[in-house]
Amino acid sequence: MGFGQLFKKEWKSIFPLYAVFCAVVTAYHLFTLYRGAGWEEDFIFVSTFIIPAVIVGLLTVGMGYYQLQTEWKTNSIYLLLSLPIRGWKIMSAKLLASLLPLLVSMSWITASFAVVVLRGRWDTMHDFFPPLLPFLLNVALNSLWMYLFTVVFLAVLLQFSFLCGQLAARFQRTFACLAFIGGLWLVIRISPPLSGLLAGIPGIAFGSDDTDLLYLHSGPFLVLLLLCAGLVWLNGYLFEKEVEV
Amino acid sequence: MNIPDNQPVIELKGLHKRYLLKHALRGIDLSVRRGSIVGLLGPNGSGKSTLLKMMAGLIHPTSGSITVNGLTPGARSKSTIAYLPEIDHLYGGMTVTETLTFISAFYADWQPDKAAEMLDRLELDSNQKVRNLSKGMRARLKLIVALSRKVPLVLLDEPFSGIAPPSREKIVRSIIEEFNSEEQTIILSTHSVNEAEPMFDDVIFLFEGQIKRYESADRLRSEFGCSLENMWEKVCM
Repeated sequence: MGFGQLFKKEWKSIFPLYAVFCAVVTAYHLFTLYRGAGWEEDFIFVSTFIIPAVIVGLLTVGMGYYQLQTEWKTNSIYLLLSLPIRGWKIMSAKLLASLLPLLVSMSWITASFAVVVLRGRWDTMHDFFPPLLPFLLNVALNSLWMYLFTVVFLAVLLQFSFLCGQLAARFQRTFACLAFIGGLWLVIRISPPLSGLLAGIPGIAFGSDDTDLLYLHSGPFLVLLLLCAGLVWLNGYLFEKEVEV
Repeated sequence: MNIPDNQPVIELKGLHKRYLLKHALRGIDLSVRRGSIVGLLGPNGSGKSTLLKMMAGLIHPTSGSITVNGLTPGARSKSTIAYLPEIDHLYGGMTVTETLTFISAFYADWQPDKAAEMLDRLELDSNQKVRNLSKGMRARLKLIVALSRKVPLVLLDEPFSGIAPPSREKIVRSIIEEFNSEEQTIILSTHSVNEAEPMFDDVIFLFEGQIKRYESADRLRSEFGCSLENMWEKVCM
């Protein structure tokens, strides 16, 4: 019940930002529909889908840092630290609460893109689009989970960096930056040898048989998943046992 | 939670707390009995807030041991403690009702009837956002949060800080009315000794991170022949 309340509190505080962003994206989609007749297809695709998707991901990553910083800035950290709940649950509630708006926003941006931008250009697309649908679906879904995975990892790493900064009495932002760079470096260093140990596990089919089919080694993703879980636990430990106010 | 009657509610042994070059607490040994209101008195920087935060599990000792309700500080011990910090720690964007609902979700010992009754008695508008409450009203809300639980240990850090005298009297009355001497222990740090003195069964005088005296308030009064407020310099000098 406590976890639910924490999740609800976080969700309520950050959801308006995502709602405004989604409204702005849809407004831009409508603008493209009416004013983008002469624009290049690539520019339209990048500006109406790729850039909003990257921005909403960056928002979520930044939220991992902002949520914790706000707790310290408003002194509500005193309340959080006095609650009888494990640190990892608090950190997970914050993480999930920033992931849900990301999923909702991505769904909204995709739906808005499909309904407004694609439908508006259907005349030029209806010949080549249907045969490519299985390939596009495969690429889109695989790209989506990889994108979400990267966002989650970066958000967890930023939580870790912030908490490391709080362990220092002075120059907290410097320590947070160092922790972020150090954490990233460590992950890049240890992922290849660890994923090499998982060489036998099945690969990820990227594309379809009709087009260029790629098989990606799933080891690095599995290693990253384990590192994410480990970092969430470590963040919880730091929050519960090491961080002080 | 059932705790044996003979077990002290708090036991500190050789407790030290050091921040870089500053020693906040120096070798505190303390055992607090059940069923009393204990005043924690001392000048600014004497270590009162540090000691209460350590009991509440918000900070950790540099050395020494601490047992609260038979448990070392952690998620479990926190469920047996109600802690009111000096600063405003509640979420400004929540209303009074939302604040109480949020906090009650974490505690099995939360008493909604008591919270509603105190809300009414302390004249708080439940629909107001916390950020829009005056400082006095926020202090009352913090007190409701701390006293609405059926908990063995209540830690109050400067509950009268920045509060006007009429509000202080209301807060003192509430603490006395809500105190259950058979089940609870309250440790209260304050500079407003005058208002709080009638509440105290025992008093701890803290000075430069060390306990100077820990006695019953009556015994101190008869020994020094004055009120606790005027006793301060005699004890610490």
